[in-house]
Amino acid sequence: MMYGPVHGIGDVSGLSTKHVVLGLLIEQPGYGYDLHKRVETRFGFLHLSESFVYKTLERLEREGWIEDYKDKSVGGTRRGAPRVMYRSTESGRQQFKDWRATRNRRAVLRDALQAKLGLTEPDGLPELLEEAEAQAADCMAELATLRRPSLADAAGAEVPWHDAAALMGDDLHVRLLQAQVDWLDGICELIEDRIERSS
Amino acid sequence: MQPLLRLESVSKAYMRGPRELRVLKDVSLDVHPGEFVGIYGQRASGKTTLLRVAAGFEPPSDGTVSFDGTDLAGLSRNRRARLHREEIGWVERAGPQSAGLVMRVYVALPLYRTVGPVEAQRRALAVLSKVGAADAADARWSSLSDTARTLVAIAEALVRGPRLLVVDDPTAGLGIIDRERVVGLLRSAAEDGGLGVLMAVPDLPAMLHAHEVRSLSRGRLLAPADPPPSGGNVVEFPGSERSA
Repeated sequence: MMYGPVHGIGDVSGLSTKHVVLGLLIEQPGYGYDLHKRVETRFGFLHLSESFVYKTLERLEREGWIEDYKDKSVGGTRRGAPRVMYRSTESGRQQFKDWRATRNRRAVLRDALQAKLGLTEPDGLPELLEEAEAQAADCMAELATLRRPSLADAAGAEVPWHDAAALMGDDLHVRLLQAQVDWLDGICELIEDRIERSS
Repeated sequence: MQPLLRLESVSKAYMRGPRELRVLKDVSLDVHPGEFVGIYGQRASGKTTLLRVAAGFEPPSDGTVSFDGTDLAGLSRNRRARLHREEIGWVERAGPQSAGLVMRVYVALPLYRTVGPVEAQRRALAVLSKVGAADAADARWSSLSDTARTLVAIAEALVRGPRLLVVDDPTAGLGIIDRERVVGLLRSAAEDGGLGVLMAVPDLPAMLHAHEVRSLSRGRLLAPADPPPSGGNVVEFPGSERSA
């Protein structure tokens, strides 16, 4: 299995954005722009660009997991042509089922700063401190991008499942940010202390 | 627009035996009407001190705290007490001093002197139901869940019709959905009620609904975060499925 880092938080094991888009199409057929909106609302943490969603749709179609059809009932494009709509195929639905049934390993964290800590001599500590402080600021900036209206109403109506799922996703994301902020905060204090004592 | 609350270069130090403990260092912060500002900090980072100084319960060692343009240090004790009775609502999950009180009375107490018990309780009920805690009206503090206690504490502050809410750790011990409810309620107090809301929490997920989030670290308040230019350090997903 290949790993790739995401947002500098950690690595994601086997996260397949293809299956996310496929799953949304199984829920409900749609066209590119509409799918990107749905991805943003429900899986904002993926930070998928619109062009990436279009590319994913092309790839899914090549795989035969989805197919396009023209639907005149869904508001046309600017030039008045019918929208190219996508829907899942039988083989796509089977693929999705298999993906959902596959267990993923937990995501692992591989942080560059963690490695640098062990490889920095005392004279390099000021730069390390700056980097750690900048990363802490980045965490707070990332939090700002996740802001959204509250999904639960104080009066107490039941929160729909998809909203609850989005909350749980955000919760993981923000808890990882918090772990990182707290860790950075702690090491900044220690590094600062070392710098002060050595000067 | 003039800020409702302004902290300018506020420092706060305590003497702990022979040592001076500097809890807040050069903290500046504005809260405008209709704005919900969140302070994130780990335990013992100085959050509660910051809130107490901001609300005028403690004087700063240095710097100024002004409410609606007036320096709090210049106010008489009476004037300050009135401010706390009417304009600045302090929210903390402390509960009533007398354990026998039912919540409709507890929430009504701040109004007893001004409007009398009957009207005070009527308004208390209205606020309790507005915050989603109507069920707690006839209950005692000891029988309430953490969520209900938080909602009652918010109601007890809101009943005064304050212009500023200062909220200390409202989400401790709450699950995801209840946390969402409580913080959403504070945000709508700001957006719909036009209040300034200042909240401090040691829990980053509780910050999701704040308009501005500041991080308190080692007594210093970090500058407000600018969103990253490209959505952060986003890189390839496995199998290079992702375009740059």
